[in-house]
Amino acid sequence: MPTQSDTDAPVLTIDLAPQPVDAGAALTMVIHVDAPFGALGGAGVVLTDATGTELGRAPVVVGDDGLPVATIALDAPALPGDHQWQVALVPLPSDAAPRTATLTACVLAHPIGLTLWDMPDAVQAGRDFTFRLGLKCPCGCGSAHWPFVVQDQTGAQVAAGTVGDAPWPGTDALCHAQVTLTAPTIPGVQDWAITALPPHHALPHIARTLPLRVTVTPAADATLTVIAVDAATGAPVDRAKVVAHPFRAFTDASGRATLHLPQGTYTVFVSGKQYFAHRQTVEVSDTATLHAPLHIDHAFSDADTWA
Amino acid sequence: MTGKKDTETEKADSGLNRRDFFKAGAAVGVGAATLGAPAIALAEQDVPMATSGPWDYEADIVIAGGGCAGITAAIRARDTGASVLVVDQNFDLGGRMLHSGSFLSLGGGDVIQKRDMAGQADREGFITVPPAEEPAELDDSVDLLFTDVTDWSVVDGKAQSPYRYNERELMRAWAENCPPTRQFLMDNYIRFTRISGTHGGGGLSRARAPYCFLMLGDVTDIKAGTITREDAGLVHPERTSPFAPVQMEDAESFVGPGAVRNGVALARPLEFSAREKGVVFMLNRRFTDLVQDPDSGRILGIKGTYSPRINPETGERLESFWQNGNVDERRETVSIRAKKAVILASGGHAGNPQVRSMFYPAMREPAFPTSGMALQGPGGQDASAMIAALKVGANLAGMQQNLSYPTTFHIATRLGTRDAYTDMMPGHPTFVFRGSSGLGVGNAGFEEFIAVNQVGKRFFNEVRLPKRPGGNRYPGDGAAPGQGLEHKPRDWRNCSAEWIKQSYNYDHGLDAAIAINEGSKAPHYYSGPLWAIFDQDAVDRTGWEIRYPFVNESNGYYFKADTIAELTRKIEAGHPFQRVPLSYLDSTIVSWNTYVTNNLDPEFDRHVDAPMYAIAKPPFYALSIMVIWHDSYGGLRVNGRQQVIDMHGQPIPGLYAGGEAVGGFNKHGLGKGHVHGFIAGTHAAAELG
Repeated sequence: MPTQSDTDAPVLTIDLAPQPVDAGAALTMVIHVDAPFGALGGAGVVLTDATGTELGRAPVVVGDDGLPVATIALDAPALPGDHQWQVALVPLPSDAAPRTATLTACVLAHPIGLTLWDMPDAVQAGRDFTFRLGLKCPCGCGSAHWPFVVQDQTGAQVAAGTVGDAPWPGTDALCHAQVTLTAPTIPGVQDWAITALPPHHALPHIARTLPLRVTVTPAADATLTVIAVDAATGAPVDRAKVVAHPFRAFTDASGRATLHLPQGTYTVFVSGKQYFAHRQTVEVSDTATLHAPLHIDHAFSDADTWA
Repeated sequence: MTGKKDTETEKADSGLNRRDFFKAGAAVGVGAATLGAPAIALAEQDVPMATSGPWDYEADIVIAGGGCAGITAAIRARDTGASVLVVDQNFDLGGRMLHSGSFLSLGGGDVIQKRDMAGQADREGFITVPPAEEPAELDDSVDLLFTDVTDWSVVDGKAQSPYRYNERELMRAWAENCPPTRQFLMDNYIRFTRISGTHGGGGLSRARAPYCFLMLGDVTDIKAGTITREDAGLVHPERTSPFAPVQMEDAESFVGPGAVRNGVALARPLEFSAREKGVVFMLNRRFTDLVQDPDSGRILGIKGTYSPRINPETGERLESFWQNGNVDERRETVSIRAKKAVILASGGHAGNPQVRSMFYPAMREPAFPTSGMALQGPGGQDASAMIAALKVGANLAGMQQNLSYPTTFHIATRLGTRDAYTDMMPGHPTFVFRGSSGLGVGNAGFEEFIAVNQVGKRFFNEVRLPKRPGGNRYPGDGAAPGQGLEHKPRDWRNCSAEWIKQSYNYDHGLDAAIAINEGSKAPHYYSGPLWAIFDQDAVDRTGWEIRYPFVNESNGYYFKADTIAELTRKIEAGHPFQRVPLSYLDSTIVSWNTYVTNNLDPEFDRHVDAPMYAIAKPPFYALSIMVIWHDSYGGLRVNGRQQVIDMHGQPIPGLYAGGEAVGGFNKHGLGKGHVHGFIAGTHAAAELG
């Protein structure tokens, strides 16, 4: 930490951690005093802010390294920004000039973790679609009932709400909400946005915005059937992943997946656990069937992998 | 289980069982006395003696390292009647041989090639399956083997030349000693499966490599060739044993029903034989220095320091599985006189980042270990042989060959453990040093996540990261246009520009992984760790089991969080090599999700190779991705007798070396070490003492 001292010894050297610090989070300040411990005569240190308000104090003791040291533990201020503080050695040795040091503590507002999932890769024009969003403060502030808004490509607000108070399954404390919106009527790609707003909270939080890309497709008028088989054995591959962007599906136990999609030309990937991706371009006019022989992942045999 | 278990079967008339071995105790003389047979008498007479004066111990032959080269050399020298003391830095024997796959590539017309050519079974009749290779594929000779391992024309899929830089004298000696080494190993309780191909660096013309096997049985009896399911680590799919750090694999296709294979079937029988014959072991002893006569230059002995391995949870010292023949010496430093010779077999430098950086400065990054890190401990592959021998004037050889084998350093497909080369399960005493077995996702699994560097930025097309060329071995791997028996050694077409353009098959993902990034700082410019980042949808897609023992929430190589921001903080706080903030991770995820929506990865063209998936559904996961520096091909220069050669081209008297300590032989795996040990043991024992 930057240290400033007056003219003569003893010099005060200050370590402040962490820096920068989240608003309200624990701070530890270690003040090293460059003087023989015996000469300090039971001295201590006092920490004050720019207004002269005392923030903490601690006695000078012998540290692990045998040198005089004082440790002040405190909570960071709620106000974000740089804080100018002063540390003074008290009482002073009888024949010494006043000893002080100043420092700057940098305090940050809390970020908001915003995540958005189960957004359909494609939505049909004019239809409703749903997704989920979750909010959480990584500093540990509870996020129940925190607010969010959704804006469309023009910036107009199309939804607003708050998350609930129960954590999403599998998470510790991610409060979440389901959002239902109506897709534009014209096919194409629109860039919407979702924003987690600063909540009413004792500590400051920064709004967080994520892009929400809405891919609007024409009505599905064609069908693509994918049949995934093991290239070596011919056996059907269950749970193979099929992606014909933006449409996605899994195969069933018979190795089949059916995608309903608009007519067009698609680059289709079929892959599976332990199977490398099979890539093929398919033109789908009404119905189409794609046979995907999948090659198992054994690029390296035992002989390659093991000495 | 441990050697102390009281349920083990006593079998007094079939040689040693484990109980006998343990009861033999730590004292050398006592241990030898329980063994019966003539070897014991030799052992009693010729054990290394504690001495007065400048030496703490002395023996005819002193060997640094108890792995594939060291134990082979020890037995070979012991067979001639020499007293032999092996020091090893680890608590147990075997080195990396113990966690290997036991794929032991020799050839030159060795006895296993001939057996399989004739369609015969093994002497004990365990092998019930027909040969895996045709007779023509096994029809080998010393001359053909020598030609293969000095073939100037072979260029691999990385445009490297694996054979042309090999030392000719070393190769000739190796080829000539392959057949006798195969027989020697068989004479010391090693059973070989059917031959199936050849190991990397072992030549492109013929099939030369079998695995080692044991048969499952009611008792572990090395002489009878049996092992219990418990010792083989096969009782529970997620638990192994102190006997087998890596669970043994089924060997039915190469032997028949009930056979199991891996390095356990090689290292343990060889160790058994060495102990039976009276080789003495000083474990927990790190070889540090050679002692040289200042006048004659002759090597007189070694020094070593105490290197116990302490279980961090219990505070107890780890103990070897078998203990008869062990000298339990705990002084900090001891000196050991070698009356005849010292053999350096303490491995290479793959575990020493400072030495590795000689070949690739970015590999000075200590975050990335060598393989078998937990098993071997911090003293494994520490370049001790090279460092000590350089001090006494040794020369080096084949230093550029570290860059010529695709496994030397690579990105592992096992995530979430630092020891990513092997899949050790709980049950072996060194599991505590890794904490997780890791999650094997295979090459195909790399399409499920994004890979980021220490500042949270992607650095390469993920699905190409683990890709590496094959191992320059029979029957092909694209290292030459002629595959199998069609390969023509020393044919110019093997390295024509046209063929190399066609066969080149290397993406430089590893090099991007260890590149300087925004978090790299002077003077080392460490690249820092690598992370696979994915979400709950990836887990649901794949069925990956994100749980102990595959991952461990407290070992610093696996993190889970509700949000990316929280995941970032957890990695920063919890990983020992995360030196800088993951500043870009959050924005990287936002960008990636946009790429997925657009079906276009403008940075690395992922959309061309594989489907892309959003990272959106909580919770979020981070698993470590490891760069592994596996083994060493540069090292000490030796001649055909395995004598270490000095900077003037002369042998250093009384000093031999073998295995990964030796350079100038781009041979992957065990075949190099065993033959080196065989040769070194032969000649060292013949020195005048």
